[in-house]
Amino acid sequence: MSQVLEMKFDTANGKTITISVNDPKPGLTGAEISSVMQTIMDQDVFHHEGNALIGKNQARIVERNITEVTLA
Amino acid sequence: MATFNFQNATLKISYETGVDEAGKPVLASKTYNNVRENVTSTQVAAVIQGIASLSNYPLSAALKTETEEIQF
Repeated sequence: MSQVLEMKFDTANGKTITISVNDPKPGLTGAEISSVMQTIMDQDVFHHEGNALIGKNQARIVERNITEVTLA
Repeated sequence: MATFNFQNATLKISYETGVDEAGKPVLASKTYNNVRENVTSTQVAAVIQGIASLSNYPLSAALKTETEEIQF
């Protein structure tokens, strides 16, 4: 089972961009994730077509389960 | 006079996920698009350390790649 942390931001042109982290540390709190999202916004490193990130939209952890099927 | 025209930039973060039978580190990397022009190393370092703090694996290396078009 693999997990991906997805952090979604609103951009100044009304779009959403996702910054994801594979294999997030187990037991991350909302405060820890929110603080990193704030750092990402404050440092102003990512833009979408010249538009800055202006707000935290959402954070979620997505799990993917892989079950191998025996071929008959 | 020819000039460089910024096209895009990416950040690639590598994590050490373990070691192989020969004792060599096994790396997993993740690339982030939408990096804007003229970011400082301080800004990039803060963002990378923030993102890496959410990962279950230790940060191994980080690269910034910038693509510029040459205009004649």
